[in-house]
Amino acid sequence: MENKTEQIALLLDNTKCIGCRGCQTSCKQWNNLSSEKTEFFGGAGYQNPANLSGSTYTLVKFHEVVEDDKLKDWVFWKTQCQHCINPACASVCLVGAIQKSENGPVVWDDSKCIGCRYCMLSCPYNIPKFEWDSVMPQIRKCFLCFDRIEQGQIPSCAKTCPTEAIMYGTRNELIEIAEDRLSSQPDKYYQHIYGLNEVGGTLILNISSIPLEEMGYPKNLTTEPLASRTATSISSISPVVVGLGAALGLFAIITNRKNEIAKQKAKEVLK
Amino acid sequence: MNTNKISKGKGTTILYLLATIGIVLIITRLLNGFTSITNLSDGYPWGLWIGVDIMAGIAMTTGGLILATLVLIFGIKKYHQLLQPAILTAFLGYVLEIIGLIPDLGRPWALYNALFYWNNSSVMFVVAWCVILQTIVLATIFAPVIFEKLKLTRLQKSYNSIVPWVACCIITFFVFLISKSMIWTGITFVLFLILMFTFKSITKNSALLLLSIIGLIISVTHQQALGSLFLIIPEKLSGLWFSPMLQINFLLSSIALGLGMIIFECTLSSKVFGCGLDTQLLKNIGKFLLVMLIFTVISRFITLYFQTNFVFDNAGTTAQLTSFWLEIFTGLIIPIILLLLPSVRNSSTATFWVAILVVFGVILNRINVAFIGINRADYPSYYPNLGEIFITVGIFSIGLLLFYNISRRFSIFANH
Ligand code: SF4
Ligand code: SF4
Ligand code: SF4
Repeated sequence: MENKTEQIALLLDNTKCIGCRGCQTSCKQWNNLSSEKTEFFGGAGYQNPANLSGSTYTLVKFHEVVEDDKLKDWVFWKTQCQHCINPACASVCLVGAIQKSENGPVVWDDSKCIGCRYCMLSCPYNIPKFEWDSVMPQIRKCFLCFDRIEQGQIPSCAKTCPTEAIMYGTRNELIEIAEDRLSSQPDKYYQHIYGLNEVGGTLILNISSIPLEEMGYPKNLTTEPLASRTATSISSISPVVVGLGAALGLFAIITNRKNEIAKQKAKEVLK
Repeated sequence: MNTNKISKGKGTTILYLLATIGIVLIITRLLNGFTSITNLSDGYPWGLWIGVDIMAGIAMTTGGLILATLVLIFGIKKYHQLLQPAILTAFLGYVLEIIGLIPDLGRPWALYNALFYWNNSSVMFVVAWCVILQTIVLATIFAPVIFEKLKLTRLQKSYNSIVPWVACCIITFFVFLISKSMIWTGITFVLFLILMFTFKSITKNSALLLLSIIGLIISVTHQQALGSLFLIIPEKLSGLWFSPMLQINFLLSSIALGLGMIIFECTLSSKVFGCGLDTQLLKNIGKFLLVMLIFTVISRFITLYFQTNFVFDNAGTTAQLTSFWLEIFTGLIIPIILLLLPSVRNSSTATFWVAILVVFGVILNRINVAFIGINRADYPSYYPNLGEIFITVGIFSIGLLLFYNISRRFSIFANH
């Protein structure tokens, strides 16, 4: 789905990220999100909280690169909604509460959502979160600061980032920048632009010093938009309805005719 | 009718108690949010309710439609005595699904939005409209029983003239919603108009005939759509259950479950209502069941071959593998072996127990697909907590009570 209007995007370069989490804080501030009670947890990453949630739209994940039992490097990864170009979440929402806007951001409409949570299940990045505590729960996720963009401003997290680890621009120009960086500093970067083709392409582009899969980016994602997986099943319904209808109808007519004939014969015999 | 063998008092008191607990818990859930009584989390957004109340519950309704097909479409009259209870079960299954949605949906009050906003690229949209339209269709199929008992002769008379038109409109609207294609909508409308007029000219039962065809079609679509919900997550659903043809597995196993439910229900109601049990009919249904189980097992193993190459050990966690083998053995292999033995097929008690195994197996299958098979290493694995279990139990108790009271009030077991 190549749009006529230019798609806006973010380029996240984790070699430039210093793990300050200014983006995390500014996102909360701009979107009025409450703080969370956190706990230290074992396992991959030391970040707090451990995961995105209904009140955390973006989270910097921490990762230690250990070689020969020695800490070689710290790598950070800013997680958030990837803003797929063909979003699974929007395709599965029965009421269309999640929509892809014309210039790219995947936004949602609270009043339509019925809370079925299919979007959460279907998202390849497990992004949409739910307000499990609330009496009137909502689906929550990053919406690429659509409100700011409409006012001609850049997303809050990109504005805050002190090191240009988050760059805002059109998708095409950011792809060029990313390609430039990968080719000019091949030692520094793992040679892959995440989001260029994954699940049909996403607006959020990641470049990184190590494979992001090591930090929790989903492995083996297809380059096909996920919505295509259910398309055949849905488009086969009409032919099935007509086919079954015709076949069953025919059966019914035949059996009824047979019964009629049998009855008539019985009558004739009685006469 | 007057010889209730099971003491009516005790059984129903327990059911009323469970139903009340369920309702109280549903209200608690609505007033306090999910965390208060469920273990659902951002990692496991779907849990017990989707597996049992929604997916297994709907799979149980196929029994009514199978019988309607046999009796009305294929004209096999001897199954007629089983038809009314099965249709009632199917209708109640849909009513219960709607009740089950109240605690499960985060925003049930917004459900009416489903009527106005149509995203036909969503499988959930198909599911939602199957629920809405099938509830109407089943209510209409059952309505004559009520008209007759309440002596609503006026309604009874207009039934045959109005209902066929309504039925045609329902199925046409359904196709329109899902395809948004005028061509398919047109073809459907013309086809069903032709059927309607042909039926009218050859039988008095044209309304029921048309309705049962439409009911069967929606039922097939519904089961397939429930399976198709998961086609979008091959990365998350373990290969023990995932398949690009998951919808076929759902359809086949739902038919097996439907047949199992017919056996279960007939045997049980013959005890509760003291009506005679036609062992020959049950024997035939047992044979159908055997055939369907064999189909299901074949389709399961074909998809398993493509997903796992039959190397099961790496295909899932210990919990997943345990649940998988439990499902395969109790729900498929053991029932098939048992039903192959003539001595089991000839004994109505043994058939009854096989039916219970099958019902258990398919329920477990839906549970497996809904959450046990879902891989989310980054979240603690989900298991339902007592609140969720008692809401499910409560909803099924409401169903049993409705079935018991309606079938007594309208004496649907009386004529045999
Ligand atoms: S990352 Fe997930 S939530 Fe974000 S647009 Fe893609 S499918 Fe939707
Ligand atoms: S939870 Fe809400 S936004 Fe998500 S798919 Fe369901 S209705 Fe749509
Ligand atoms: S784009 Fe806006 S909503 Fe999304 S992570 Fe950045 S600040 Fe938060």
